[in-house]
Amino acid sequence: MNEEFYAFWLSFCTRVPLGKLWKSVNQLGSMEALYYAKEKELSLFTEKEYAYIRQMKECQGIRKLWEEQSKQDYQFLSYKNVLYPSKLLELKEPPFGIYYQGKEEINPNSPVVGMVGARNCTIYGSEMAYRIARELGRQGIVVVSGLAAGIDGASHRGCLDGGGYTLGILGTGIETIYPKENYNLYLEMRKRGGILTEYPPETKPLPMLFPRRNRLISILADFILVVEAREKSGSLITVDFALEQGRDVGVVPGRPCDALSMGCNRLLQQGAKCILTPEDVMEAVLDSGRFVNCKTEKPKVNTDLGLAPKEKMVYSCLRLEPQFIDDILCQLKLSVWEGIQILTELEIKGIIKQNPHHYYYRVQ
Amino acid sequence: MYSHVMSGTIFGIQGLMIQVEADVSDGLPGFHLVGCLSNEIRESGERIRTAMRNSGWYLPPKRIVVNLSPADVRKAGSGFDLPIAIATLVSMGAIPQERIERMVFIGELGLNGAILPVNGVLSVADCAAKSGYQYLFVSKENQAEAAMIPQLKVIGVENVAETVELLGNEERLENAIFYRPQENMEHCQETTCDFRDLKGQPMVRRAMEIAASGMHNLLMTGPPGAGKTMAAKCLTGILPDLSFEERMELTKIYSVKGLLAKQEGLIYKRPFRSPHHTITASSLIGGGLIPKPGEISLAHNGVLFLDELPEFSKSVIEVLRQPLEDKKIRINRLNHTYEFPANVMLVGAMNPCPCGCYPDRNRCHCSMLQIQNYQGKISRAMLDRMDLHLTLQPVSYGEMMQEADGEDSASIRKRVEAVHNLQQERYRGLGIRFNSQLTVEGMKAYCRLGREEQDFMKEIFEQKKLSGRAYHRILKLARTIADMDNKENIELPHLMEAVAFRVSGGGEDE
Repeated sequence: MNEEFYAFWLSFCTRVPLGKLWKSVNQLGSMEALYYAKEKELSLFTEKEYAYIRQMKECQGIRKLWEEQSKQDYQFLSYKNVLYPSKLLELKEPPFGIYYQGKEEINPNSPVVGMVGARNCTIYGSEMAYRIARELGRQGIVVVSGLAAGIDGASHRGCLDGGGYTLGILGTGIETIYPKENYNLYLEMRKRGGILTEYPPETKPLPMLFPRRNRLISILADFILVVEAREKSGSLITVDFALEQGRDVGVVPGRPCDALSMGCNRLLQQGAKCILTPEDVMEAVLDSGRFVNCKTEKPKVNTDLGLAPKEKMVYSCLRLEPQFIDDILCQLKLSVWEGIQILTELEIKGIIKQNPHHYYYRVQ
Repeated sequence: MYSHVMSGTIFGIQGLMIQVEADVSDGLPGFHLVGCLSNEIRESGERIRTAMRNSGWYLPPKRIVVNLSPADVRKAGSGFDLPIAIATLVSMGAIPQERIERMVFIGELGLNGAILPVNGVLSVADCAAKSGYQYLFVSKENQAEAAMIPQLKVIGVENVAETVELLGNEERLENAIFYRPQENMEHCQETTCDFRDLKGQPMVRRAMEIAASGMHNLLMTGPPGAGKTMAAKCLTGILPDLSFEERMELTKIYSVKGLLAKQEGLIYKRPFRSPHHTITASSLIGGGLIPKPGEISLAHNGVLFLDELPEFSKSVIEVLRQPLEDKKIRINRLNHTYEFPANVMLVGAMNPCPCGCYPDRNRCHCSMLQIQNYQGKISRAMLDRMDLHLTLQPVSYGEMMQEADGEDSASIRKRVEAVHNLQQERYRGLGIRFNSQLTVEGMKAYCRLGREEQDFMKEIFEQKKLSGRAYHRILKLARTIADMDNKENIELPHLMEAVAFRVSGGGEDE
């Protein structure tokens, strides 16, 4: 058995704190030694943990899975492997191994932005995340996020639509699609982006496993961007990790009265970078000094949409965040049916959208 | 001696003439009832004998056989007591047979000989008039209802003795005919809810007017307290009164159900039924051993309002699918198929998510999955059948306190009436009354699109991933909007507005 296998085996021991495993590997000298260690040598662990480790050792399934690994779609990389992302080694307790599936030829020098935010986000939040990520994708910047619902999903989607490479860090096993609404996104990312996890296959979504993966997002990124977070939210855990790891943090501001922007605005107050446009992100990433050869041409903004005067009037009433149709109609000095018609027309032209039904917002 | 008397029963909501035959002959004394009878008729023998004795006739100790024909229709209800008694009296020789030709009798008997009211008299009366009968004997309580059929001479009687007496005296009989007093057509509108009190909310007004104009189905989504129920109640105020045929149809249904108020004439207001969400499928569409109409038929030509739509059991909502297309209910029993009219305008109301606050994310903490599950309780097939999808938001304090009243129901109703008349004129002789009832054939004639409009619909069809049904329903809705605009042809703006009231396919999960 080679080192890879012992790392593979260790990745299954998810119920033992990673810190203790590392400590004992360091004490015993190697992963192999831990695998064959007797109970006396493992005084570090509680009785329960030891029983668990022994159970894992006797588990035939792991061995079988290892032997059949070549048949699987994913690849397993131990921390000793040359292909293992070197950034992860900056962690105090890096994963013993990671499971990866997706594109293989990635430019290692491209800057990486981690995007995090609320799962139950507003349309404003998901639109902002989408646009920024799309622009980053166009500029060849990698977007890393957690493949959860809400901001995470919008960021991945945006980056893919911009033609970029995006990496999803899962809090589950590599073949578990969670949440279900990201089904299509997951499949697309396997082809055009990448998926990475430290948890063994068939790990179910368990609440205790999710915070741990956040440290991978922040360590892989050069810059962390928060879009919409409540005052007590999982995204702020990522921010804490990022600050510990010496990453810069940027925040998309929100209105002070929005509970969903409270966490974001608080971060701004504490001195986080205020991000208003995708260019702000690019500047911030370049500022970190690591990247010189990055193209920084400003995207052209097409302001003339070629609208009729009445359409222009309706369009000017709309904002980025969705507005209820009654409120729009009340602002307009048009008859109700005329207002409805123009809204439909603009929607068909693709410059405004409605979501949910009868809430309109701009898209360009 | 043999005798026969005409009576009637209800079959679905239609009347059916039944001949009651009696024969008194020598043999073992007894009173036998035959002819595919239900329990309540089978046991009526005892009732009739006692009632007759208490009215002064003693049945002779002979063999009396009563038959109800046609014998293959299962007969139910208590309306045969009176005709059986009369037939027996005729065969006993108390009344001459030729005296009761062209007469129909319906009524239940009490033990003291009193004649009691029964359900469904209107349907039987209608059927009797169409079959050429002249006189109808019913209980006093039923006379007003029966007299709605003007071709029929209705006589309300209190007991058996009075009936026999009237039959023996031509002059008194003619005097006893009940005529309905001239109806007062100027009904005052009961003002439960008026659009005047609905502040702001321009979309609600517009959608309600369109829905009422073409009798289109409507689904309202909005947080609690946004005024969904109030808007639905306002809807009755802008619907025009029923036409005579519609009133007749509807009154028959209520008569069969026994829901007709005493002394009330034909129902003139469009019905508004709002069953509670615990309703069962069979009480919604009708059912029973001998099927009776359900809530959907009671809302015929009017509004069926289902508040808290997702709370209804899924199977209950899904049974509505077929009647919403066919505009009638067909209930099969072993021997017969019963058909009930069910031409309703379905108005549904629902919250957007379990807590009701979505998309206000400051208050709504429901996960996307929860929201999808909640909205998923209404199947896509059902959503397709809703022509107008309306979103509501609670009114702000400022709007609520507005001094200026909105347009009141009466003036909206005038416009709706005009559009109704337009449609009735156009669809005369086609068997339909409203745009929402147009068949695909009819749409070819009345929903023609120009080149520009066709291009637009093609784009919409692909962009919104419409189903064929949704496409047709958009056209019907646009037809109504064009009618409101008083335009001969459907034009681009009409289509655009119709499209705006429809949810796009699968928008939520993007």
